[in-house]
Amino acid sequence: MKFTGKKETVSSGKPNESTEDEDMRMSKDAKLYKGLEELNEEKIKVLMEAADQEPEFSKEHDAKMRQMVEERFGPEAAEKMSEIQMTRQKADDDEKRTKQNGKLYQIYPRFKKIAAAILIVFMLGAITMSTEAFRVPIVNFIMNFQKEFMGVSVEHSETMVDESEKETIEEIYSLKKKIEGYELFEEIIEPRLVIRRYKNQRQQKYKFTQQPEALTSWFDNEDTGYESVDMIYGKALFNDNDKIYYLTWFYDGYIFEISGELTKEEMISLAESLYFKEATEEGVNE
Amino acid sequence: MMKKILSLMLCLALLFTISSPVYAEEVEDNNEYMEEEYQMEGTPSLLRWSNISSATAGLSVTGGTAYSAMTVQAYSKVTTIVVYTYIQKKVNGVWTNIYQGIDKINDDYIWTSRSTTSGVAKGYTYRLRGRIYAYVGTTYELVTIYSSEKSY
Repeated sequence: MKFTGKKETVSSGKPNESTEDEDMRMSKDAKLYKGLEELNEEKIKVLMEAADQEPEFSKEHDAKMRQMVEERFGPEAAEKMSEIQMTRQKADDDEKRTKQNGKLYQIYPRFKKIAAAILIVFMLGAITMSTEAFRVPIVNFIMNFQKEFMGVSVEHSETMVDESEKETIEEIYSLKKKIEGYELFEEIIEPRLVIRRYKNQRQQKYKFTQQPEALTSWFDNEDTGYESVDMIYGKALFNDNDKIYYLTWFYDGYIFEISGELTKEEMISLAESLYFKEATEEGVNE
Repeated sequence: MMKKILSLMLCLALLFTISSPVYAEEVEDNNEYMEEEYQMEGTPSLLRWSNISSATAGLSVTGGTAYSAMTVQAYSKVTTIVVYTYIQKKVNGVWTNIYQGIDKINDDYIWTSRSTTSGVAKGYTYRLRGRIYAYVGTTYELVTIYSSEKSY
């Protein structure tokens, strides 16, 4: 069997292949393996770079966070946060200045060698010092920032009826009202989660959820506006998050939430039609 | 002579750089997630919380069973959500995975409910670690969330 060099086919692996064919096949296999390895390495590199990336926050985000912290934790907490933000800003400025110093050296490459060497020693020393002095606070700040604020752990309401933290849903609640034009299309009743989802003909949706209080909620804070709302259950939290609106409140040891493309008034109206529908173990008890 | 001085100074400079302090983070979670990310199809995005609007995570441990619940509301542009549920136990100060589950939906909303008895014992602290992949087309962002910690 002779290889013509024109028709390239994947080797069949038949036992009567010549050594030449086998060599060709092995060469192809080797190329394939090499190509695959390169692909893998490239993908791993992209993933590693993504994993190493540290978050950066815009000034708008900082301002929003300050406003949110002031509303939720008071002016003292907001002031403290501003101090941290200023420290971070100063650290960023110092880092930029250090980089600019590095550029200066590139602009004047003809300095005497000895002067250049001394400059390098001082510059590297400065970089080392700035890394030591500021990197840790920045890293700590970002970590604390993420822990404390990226995840908004919803807290107890002052007017909450039951102080005990429930871990399962013992009483199922429902809403008497429904927004006109919307129909229930999904209902999930789990020991730790009750979800009712509604949609209209234009495929717009809203949902009502009931979850035990032992819950951590996370929001996209950068695009979220917060507002405290007075309801018959006490204070509720209204979030405007890029056309998705949330109304969250506490009652009877549970966290209730209505979310979707509804107005604040519609949400409050729905929320105030909350009623105790049934007990999970004892049957319907309206 | 000049070369020697320069070399010495450069050596010193290099030593300065190398000897800058390295701060090791407190070891909390030694579990390997690279394999999980490697299995994901598409291109990772460096952005965070650009595809996901909100998420909730809850964990309870009772009667020798750990129960987890998670919800994710993404923006309407999101086509697929993949959620990895990890129930973790703190052993000697290190979070160890005792359960792993995966849920996927072609929608902008997903909920998950999982439970395990494996590895659950009294005297430990538990938490839920959720890793959410939200796709817009073939590009995805990854967001990690946690429940509060539960002592059992």
